[in-house]
Amino acid sequence: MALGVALFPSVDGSDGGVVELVRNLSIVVSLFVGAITFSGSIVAMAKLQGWLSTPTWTQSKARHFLNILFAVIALIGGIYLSIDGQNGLFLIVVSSSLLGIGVTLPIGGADMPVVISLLNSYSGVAAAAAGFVVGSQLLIVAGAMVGAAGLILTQVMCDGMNRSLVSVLFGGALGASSVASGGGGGEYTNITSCSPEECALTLEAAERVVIVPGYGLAVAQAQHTLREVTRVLENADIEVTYAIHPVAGRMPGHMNVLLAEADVPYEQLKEMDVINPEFPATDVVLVLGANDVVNPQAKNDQTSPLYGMPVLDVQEARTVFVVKRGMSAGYSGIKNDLFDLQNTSMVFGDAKKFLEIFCWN
Amino acid sequence: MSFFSEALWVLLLGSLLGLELIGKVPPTLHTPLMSGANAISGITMLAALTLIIKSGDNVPLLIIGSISLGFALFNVIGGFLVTDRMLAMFSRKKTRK
Repeated sequence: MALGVALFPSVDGSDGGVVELVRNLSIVVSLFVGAITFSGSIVAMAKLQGWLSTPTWTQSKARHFLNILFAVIALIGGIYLSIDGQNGLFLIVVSSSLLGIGVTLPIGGADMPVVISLLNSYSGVAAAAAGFVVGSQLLIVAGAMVGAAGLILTQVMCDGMNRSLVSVLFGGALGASSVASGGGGGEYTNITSCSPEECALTLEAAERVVIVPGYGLAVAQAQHTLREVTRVLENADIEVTYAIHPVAGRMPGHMNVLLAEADVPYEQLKEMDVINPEFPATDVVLVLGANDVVNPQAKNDQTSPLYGMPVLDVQEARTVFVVKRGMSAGYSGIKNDLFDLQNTSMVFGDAKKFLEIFCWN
Repeated sequence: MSFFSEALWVLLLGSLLGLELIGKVPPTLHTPLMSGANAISGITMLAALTLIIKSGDNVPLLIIGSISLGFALFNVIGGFLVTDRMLAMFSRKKTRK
């Protein structure tokens, strides 16, 4: 799903030949924001689809100078355009497109959803500016509302990760920088792994089960199989709830949509603040394709790049099963201390295949 | 400059209305909300239409206008289709309960 794309107000601003200064200024704003949105969205989409990775050179300080340079060129173009109405146009479009790429490209890891939502908000701003240009109040209202919606969602996600918007935009990718500096890395020393069958036995003996869904569940498209498994568990009088982290998945509310598709009852979905105190009273936690949102490093390790991010305290539960395809790191690229804990068992394999094995037993 | 000041008021009130309305949407529905907001930003279709009307004999302008109209339509239709599909997942459950 091309969620980042389709924000194309950029072209609309090019309503040349209008003389008034205010209109010209609106054109400049509309072009500037529109072009950033357009190129930024394309980069964001390419990164989400895995066509583009985060090049390491973008993590250097040089990118700030480059981006400032683009911004200055765009500003010059803007001044040109507002004076004589025509000439600076291409200058703005080109330089702000480059600025959009330059700003989006270094951002990676868990910050991606924030960027998408922010770009969405920009597209609203661009639409509002275009409304000033063509003199349409409807356009202004719609643009303002979209802008506000994007802004709220951006704020929600930033809170979910305990990062400020500024650090998301200018701090670079979490993972790439930490891997480079070696912080938060290290080898796993105490991995316990078990087969799906063992895991199934433990689950059947439990009374309270909490499922932590993550992006891996969405990738494996395992939500329906998961629902089948939980039906079996519920028939055996096992209490099943789902712990939804605010930034689980790749969008705010991603997991809610996914589980809603599979007919999971609304009441079983618990927000992080609600479910966290309940983990000590939980027998089994099943982590399906989630990683960074259950990393205890965020609470314990002050040197970790994740430190301070609110996480689900799954390690408080009696047993934790982590279903994962391999030992690779999460989206942030940071080692997960949870895997090393005594009460954690890894179940290697695709989330869907794993759940199918469950259904047969 | 009466249109301008009027438009500024509209912008201000529109933003406040948006903040007020959208701040009350529960987190569960944030993905459809984002998708819906994205679809609404296809409202730039209006600007594209204005552009085409104004273009007259100006061929480049007509081309740019047509391209942006196409993109905007794509955005609106695609955006609302996706949003609708997502919302259908939620509503189906409610009726069954």
